[in-house]
Amino acid sequence: MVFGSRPVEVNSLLELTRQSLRSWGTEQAGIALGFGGLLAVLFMIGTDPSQLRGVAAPLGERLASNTTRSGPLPVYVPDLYQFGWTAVVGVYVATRVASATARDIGDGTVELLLTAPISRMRVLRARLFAMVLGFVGMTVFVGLVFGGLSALTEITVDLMVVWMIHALPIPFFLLCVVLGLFIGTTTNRGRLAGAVSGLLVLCVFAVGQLSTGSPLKRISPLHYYDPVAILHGTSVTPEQLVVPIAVAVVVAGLSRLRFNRLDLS
Amino acid sequence: MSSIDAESVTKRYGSTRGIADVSVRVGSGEAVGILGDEKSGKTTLVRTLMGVQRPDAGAITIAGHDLNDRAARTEMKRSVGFVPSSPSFDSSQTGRAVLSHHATLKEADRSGRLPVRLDISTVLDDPIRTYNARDRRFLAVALAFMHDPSLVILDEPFADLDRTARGELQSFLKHEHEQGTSLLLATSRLDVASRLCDRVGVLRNGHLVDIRPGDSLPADGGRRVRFTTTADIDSTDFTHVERVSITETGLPTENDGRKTVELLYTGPVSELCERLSSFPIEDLTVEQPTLGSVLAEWYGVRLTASGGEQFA
Repeated sequence: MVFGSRPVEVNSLLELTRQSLRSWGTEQAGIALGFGGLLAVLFMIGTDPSQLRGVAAPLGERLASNTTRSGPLPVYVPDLYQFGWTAVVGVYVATRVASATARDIGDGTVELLLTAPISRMRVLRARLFAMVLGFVGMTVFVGLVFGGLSALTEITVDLMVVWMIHALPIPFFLLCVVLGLFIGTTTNRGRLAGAVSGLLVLCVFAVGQLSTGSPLKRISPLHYYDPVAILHGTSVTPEQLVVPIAVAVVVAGLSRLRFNRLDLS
Repeated sequence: MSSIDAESVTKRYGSTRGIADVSVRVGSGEAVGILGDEKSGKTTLVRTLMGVQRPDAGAITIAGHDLNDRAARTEMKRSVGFVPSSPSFDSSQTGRAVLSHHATLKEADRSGRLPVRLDISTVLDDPIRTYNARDRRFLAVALAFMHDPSLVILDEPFADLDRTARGELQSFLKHEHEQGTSLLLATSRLDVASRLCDRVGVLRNGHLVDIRPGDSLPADGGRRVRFTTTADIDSTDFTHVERVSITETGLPTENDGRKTVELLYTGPVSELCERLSSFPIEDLTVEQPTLGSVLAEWYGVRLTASGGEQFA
């Protein structure tokens, strides 16, 4: 597929991204469909308005204005829901990128791909780009699914809030993708890379859920940027947002270094 | 300008030898073969030349691009094609999708014509997992030639192909070569090297031990003939037959009044049959010798793992 008259570099990046999305698109649509449906079900069965705790942040206030079939949305619903979304999508993106990268190196697909005039860096960049587009797409799609389902019921919903719930973990997802990339370039066994990456992300996630006083929590980027806590009015400073992104940049740099020096066989 | 200019290239895998101090030059429009048996270092050499693996020492220039420079390594591939020894595809995709993907990456304009020439156009819309060895190999060849490169490097392109497919691929490569494409062909097939290549380098245990004109090679390595007979026979019985004795076994050996004769025969088969019919034969085996044993006959030395010479 030729993308117009763009420079060759952009064309090849878009083509590589398109190829990755082709493999992952169905799964990502499935995840978004599942979570959109789950959220709709949660809204429909939410029955106990007394569980609605006071939330100070503007987002929390807006959340409180959403109603289920029988009253306001209990706050634990977005809480638990977002916890699940962050964990599942985080593990998914890391596992998928790691296993695809390692498998392509192991079975020689990358060797054949690199017969084209593209650099190794562009292969990694396209994979990162594809997954970022993937989870942004999932965020949009899950909101559309939920919005569609809610239109069929008596639920009133602020779609912007639904999108915010899904978009807040994006910096964490970015970190998960580059962790997956790094693990994927350290072994040529797809399943092993996927398993290790998934476990690593779960560890990062679990350590991030420790109590604030725990010194161990400081090693998790989630200590500095916790998308779930934002729902409860915890403000996020730009410095906090920088931490997961800075860690992602460092890990991406290590992945690049590793992949560039790798002997393909 | 040379298509390939590789000088004293060495590649090791930890403490294991890959290739040692190999120098190869392929002139513009020239077809050069790298002949070697399994584990001789052919794949290491071509992967190093393509920048897929990093050399430990030596200098490589491909189509005027110095491979030490990362940007040049990428740029080089605009004028170079590569057929890996075991091309790996996403087998869920169709051949057409793979061709289209690579055509975009390579800005190729021959992606429509080559499948017809290589006779794979009828399977292009099928998933690659349904392809046989020939179609997979020919798809990889189409990918390598689709951007009309000035040089194509091929690693064991005839592996897993039957006689008909080998013939088709030889004709295709010969035609491309005649159109001016330089070829570097790593192969373990003597017949292919002798028919297609202007010059052939012999790679043994990671060392390039010889470079000779392609037409100085026999079209095949002959046949290894082993037979048992009760006739009183000695080596002089074969003086009129073109042959090379197998040094490890000696000729002939005696066991319970029977003699087992082993020889490497390079003459016409009909003549061999005629000669053998004059003996009472109890057992007969005729097989193609391995390239390794042919090379051992030619060069008379084996190279040790460390690269030293050990005379046979």
